[in-house]
Amino acid sequence: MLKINNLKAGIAGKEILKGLNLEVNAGEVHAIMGPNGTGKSTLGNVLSGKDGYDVSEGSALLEGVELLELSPEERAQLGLFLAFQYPVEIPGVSNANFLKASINEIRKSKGQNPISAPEFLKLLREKMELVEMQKDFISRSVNVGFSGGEKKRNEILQMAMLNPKLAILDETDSGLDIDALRIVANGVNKLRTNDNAFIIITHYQRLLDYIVPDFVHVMYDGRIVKSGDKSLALELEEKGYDWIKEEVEAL
Amino acid sequence: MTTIIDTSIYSEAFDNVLNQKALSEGILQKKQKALQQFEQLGIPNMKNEEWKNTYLAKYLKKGFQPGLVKKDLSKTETIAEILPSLTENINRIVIIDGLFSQELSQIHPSIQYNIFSTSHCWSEDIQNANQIFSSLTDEKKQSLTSLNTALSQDGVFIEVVEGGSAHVELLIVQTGSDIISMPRNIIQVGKNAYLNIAEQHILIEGHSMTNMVAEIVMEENAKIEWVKIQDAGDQYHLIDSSYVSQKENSRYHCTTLSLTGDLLRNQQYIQIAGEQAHADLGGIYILENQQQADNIIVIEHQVPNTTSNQLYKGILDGSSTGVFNGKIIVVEDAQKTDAYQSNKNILLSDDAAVFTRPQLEIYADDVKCSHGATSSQIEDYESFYLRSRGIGKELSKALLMFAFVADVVEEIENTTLKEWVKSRISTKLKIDL
Repeated sequence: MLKINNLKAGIAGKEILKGLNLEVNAGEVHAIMGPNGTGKSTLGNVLSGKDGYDVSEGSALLEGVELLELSPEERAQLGLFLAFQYPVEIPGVSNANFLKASINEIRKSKGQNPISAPEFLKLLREKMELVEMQKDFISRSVNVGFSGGEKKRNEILQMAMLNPKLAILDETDSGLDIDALRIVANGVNKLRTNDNAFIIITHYQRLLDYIVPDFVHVMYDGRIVKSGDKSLALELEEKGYDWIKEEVEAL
Repeated sequence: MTTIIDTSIYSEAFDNVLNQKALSEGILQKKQKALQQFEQLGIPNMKNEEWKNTYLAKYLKKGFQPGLVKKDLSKTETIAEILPSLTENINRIVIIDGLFSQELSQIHPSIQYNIFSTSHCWSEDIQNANQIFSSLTDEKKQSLTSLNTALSQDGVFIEVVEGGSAHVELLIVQTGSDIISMPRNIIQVGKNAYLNIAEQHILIEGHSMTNMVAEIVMEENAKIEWVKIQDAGDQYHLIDSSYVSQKENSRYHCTTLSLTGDLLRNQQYIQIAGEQAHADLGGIYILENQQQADNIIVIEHQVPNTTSNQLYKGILDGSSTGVFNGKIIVVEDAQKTDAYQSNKNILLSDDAAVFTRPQLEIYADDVKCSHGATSSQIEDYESFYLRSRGIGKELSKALLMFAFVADVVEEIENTTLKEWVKSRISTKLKIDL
């Protein structure tokens, strides 16, 4: 599904990703952990095409298509999704209109007709149930006046509506109370299939109690320095990151 | 004040206008006085503080001049076809080249209101209309308003009686001529009465200039909701001046949407003269090319315990210009005044310019007044959020521009007016959801 090879990227002349390799197959959930400032969020942003990053080397193929040459919207249209750590507020634009615009732009890129109103509403109601959203949510402006938990649930709802091949969740668990965390995780678990894949960027092991990953990677200094199964996350929780740093620096 | 434009053509136009119709002595005197005032003040130039960034002579040089407007019924049918479809139960008022059109207006009879042409009020001596005429404008000494007082031939008088309510669609139609049209409107909203007005401007062909003036008197507990949509194309020139007097507990809310026009100048002079009264002024201007939109606001808090709110937002592209002059005056005794003012702009091009001048004149000590002004761009991270959802660059930008002005729209209470404004903005920004 996703093949990242020797990815080097930075911002304002400072290299942040220093030759990162990662392969994610359909049906898999990968967790990326690591201390602050090691490039976890940069990875999500570079893959999604955020402005301001310079990619100096490497490639990132989504089902064989080079992502790094595409605009953010083209990447999304191909089936990439990024759940934001800090979702943006859009006053005056209702969630329903925003989601419809999004779905229709993706459909347009594939030469498909716009979604019909009944079909859209049916889909929206179904997915809202998944993340336990109240009815009035449809007419509320995107993320305006939302609590932290609601914003993150909205990210999951958008993901559910767009049905991406590969979803990257950037610290979706940060600032969530236990109920919101459960709802978010539940949403992800229900969306898991053999045809899609998830990359979960997180600082803490907590989320991984709810979304059980197939692989856990540790990022340090712009690279993945250690990979393992879910037991690695537990080990990190117990021992912290210092031993990883020591291991890397000893090399 | 010196002027490069010969004012003798104005007194000649005045003679022509006055020769047309028998006016009562009182009206005639007001008009003569206004002409004298205009001759003293002259055409405003850029030395005038309020016209510092607006080169009026440039627009006048396109050939616009004062004169007598003659009714041309041959155009009625063509105009009828162009007008938007009628909404039921709404009074339609059509003003063509400054003259009230009996043919195209549709007034539903009601005991709740009276709607007459201004010329009818002048010739039939309708007392309340004629008392208001020039009573609010006189002291302000605005030369173009004086010119309107002197030269206006017609307009509309709307009176909503005590406890009554009226819904009005006001269509300002210009057929395209060099003669500056001067509609004069008089509005009186009685005690506990309600008026809402959906105003828009239409230019049939060629170019035109409209110098429109309204005097608006609001009795106790009266409420007005007024939306003005200015989208008549780039050959359209408008100076629209509203003079408002508010009594106790009245609510005046006017929202101006400036979308196309060579010059769109909105002047609002509000006197809040009754306690607990509130004025709400909102404006959105979305400009490109050489377009210019001005919003000149003077709100005078004359008594204690009154509030006002000004919220203006602009999006400027090309080499367009926006001007915002917002003045809040709080007189000595007007304690507990709460006045807020904000002007925010997004500049999409290096050649676009915005001139913002907040002015506070506060003579009372126990007041809350705040003002703020910003210029910014659309932020990349915001745009990235939308694009990461598959929404193309252009639509992302349009949605963020919509979001930027949304709070001005949200303040409109009447849902029909609100939806109308929303849909016009969406069309302008090419948002089709």
